[in-house]
Amino acid sequence: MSFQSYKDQKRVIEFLQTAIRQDRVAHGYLFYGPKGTYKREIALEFAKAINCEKSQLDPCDECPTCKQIESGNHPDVLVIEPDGNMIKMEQIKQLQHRFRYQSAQGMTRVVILDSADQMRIETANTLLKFLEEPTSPMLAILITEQEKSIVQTVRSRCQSVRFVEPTWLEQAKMWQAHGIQPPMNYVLAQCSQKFEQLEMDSEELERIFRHVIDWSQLLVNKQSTAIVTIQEPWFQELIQKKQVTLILDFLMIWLRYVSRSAIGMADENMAGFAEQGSSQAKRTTQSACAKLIEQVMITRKLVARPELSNQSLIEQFVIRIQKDAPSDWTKLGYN
Amino acid sequence: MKIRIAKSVLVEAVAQVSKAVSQKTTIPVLTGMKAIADQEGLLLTGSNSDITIQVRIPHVKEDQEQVFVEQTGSVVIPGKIFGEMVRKLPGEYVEWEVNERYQITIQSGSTEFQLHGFNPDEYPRLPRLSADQVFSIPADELRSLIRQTGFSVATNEARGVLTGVLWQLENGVLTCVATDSHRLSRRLIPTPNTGQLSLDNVILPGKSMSELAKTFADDEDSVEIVVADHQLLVKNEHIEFYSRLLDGTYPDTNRVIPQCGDTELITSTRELLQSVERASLISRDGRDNVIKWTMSDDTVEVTSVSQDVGSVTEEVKARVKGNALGISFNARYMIEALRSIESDEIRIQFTGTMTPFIIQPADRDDTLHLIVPIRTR
Repeated sequence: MSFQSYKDQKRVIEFLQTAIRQDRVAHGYLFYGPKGTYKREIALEFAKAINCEKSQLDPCDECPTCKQIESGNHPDVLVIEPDGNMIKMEQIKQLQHRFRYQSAQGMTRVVILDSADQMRIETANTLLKFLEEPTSPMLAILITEQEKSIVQTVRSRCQSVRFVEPTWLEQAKMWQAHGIQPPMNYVLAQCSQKFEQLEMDSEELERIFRHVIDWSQLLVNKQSTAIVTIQEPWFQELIQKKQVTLILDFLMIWLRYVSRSAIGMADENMAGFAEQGSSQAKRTTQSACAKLIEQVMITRKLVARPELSNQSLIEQFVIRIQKDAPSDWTKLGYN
Repeated sequence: MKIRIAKSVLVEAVAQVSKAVSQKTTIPVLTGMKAIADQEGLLLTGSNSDITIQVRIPHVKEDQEQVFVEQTGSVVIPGKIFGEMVRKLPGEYVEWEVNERYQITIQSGSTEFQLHGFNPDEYPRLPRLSADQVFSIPADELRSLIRQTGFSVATNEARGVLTGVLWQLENGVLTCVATDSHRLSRRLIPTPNTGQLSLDNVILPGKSMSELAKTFADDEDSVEIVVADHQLLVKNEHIEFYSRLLDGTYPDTNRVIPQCGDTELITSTRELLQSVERASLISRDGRDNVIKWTMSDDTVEVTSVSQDVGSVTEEVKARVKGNALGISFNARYMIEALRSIESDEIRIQFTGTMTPFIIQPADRDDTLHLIVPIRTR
């Protein structure tokens, strides 16, 4: 592996390499950006590039230092990730223990904190003290998905580096690399799904997507059988697996596709569904579609709240559509 | 790599190296031992990244062939299992072969083990040492140095450099200082033939000091000491002991050591130690383990009072010069200092009830312990 393997993050890599070339590497970096943007991998490459024995801007991956860092065997490069849910105080203490020794000549010690937002305030303060009083050359790289949830005092001591999410066409390619065949990879690229959470193959996903299409027709036409669909095995299975968001995302994507077909701007990547799309577009008004999308969005937000039962939320969602209720859910006590 | 080695020699070497190998390390490759076979014999290395122990098994020792190297090479071998395995091998000789994918075959008698090794390139490298930075001291001096300073280091890791022992070499004298800011121990060792060599701000972790003493526990000869690239190396013919050094600047301790005393006390080390140990029985559960000495013409009165337990009073004969004085201090510090002193008589110098006092053997001035008294009501 080298920097070359992460072409998606070209801007970040150029930024880091410029810092090395000009010998202006900061002592703290905060890498932030959405999941799947190779923050941790690039942090490790950066650690290698700084310490590579051949002193190139791109790590050589051949010298012992590079190899030791790659396999986690280098004594002066440490990766810390949450032990359970949190980065614990114990782990920061260990870090201090490990780095109380002098490092070898010419080595810059690197500590990488993955999911650095998963830290209690006390732990962050211990870390802060450590970051502020480096005795010999040291570099800390904090990695997070939520920049704002890093304690302000720690954040102010780091240089922020933003990792940009790949476009959804690139994400679709990533899904394909994970074994999801078109057109489902395009569908998934528009969802909030993560690689590691998904345990289904393309066929299963397509089956669910087709179920959702059928269901959407019932919903748009306000048929009373729409609520019965919730009791079908495929639906119940997804509720059990806490994958209701997947159904709502699919529904959303489909409705968007239908309303685009109606104005002749159907997404070519989803050509496999063109026939169904255009036939449904003919039978649905744009305003009905928009109303449905609005309800989906509200439900999607509520589903994330752990105190609400997904099953009843979905049922309520269906009933509200059938009654043509106003979209103001606050009257129901949800806010 | 392919070698044949006498089992007894291997068992001994592995036992030495195992002391440095820890299973609780965050660096996976350090759970193993590195073995290098070259023209001169076999070199075994174990490390927990703080300390590293390296043992060389020479090709021939006392006219007996111990290692026969058929093919040179190196490998990292899983440490724990290897340590137990060699002890249990049936034969007198061990055949050891490693293929290019680091698969290890070990054969002895009718037993054959297959182990998965690691790539030796993954193993942390040891510093390269230059031969002109070497000085040597007798091993028993080294042990006494460790015994007389090691106990004074701070145990709390937040104390930074104070968890280590400072080594200084200047004008042919090696000075070791340890302090936890409540007490201090200092030992000087003359090291002739060091020439222009000097060491400054070399701080060896307290833990490494005790491991060092264990490693050279039976050595009668001299050991060589080298400081290079942030490591300190102590070695004799076969064993090399490396320790990483602490990062930071050690405070100047010379200023806290009083140069002269108003009150001087000379007495038997053993009697004084025993009386302090007895007094400590009362005080040891208290917060600071406080005992009190009251010095008059020819006695020291040792008292200790605890509200919950009771009290003790005892008189120890001593030669006291100067002003009469009462002073309170932590009994544990005194016990540890007195225990480390080998001389029969000790000399204690006080400068006041609230200032540090120093304890020295009466017959030599290369050893010094300092204790800061406690303010009592």
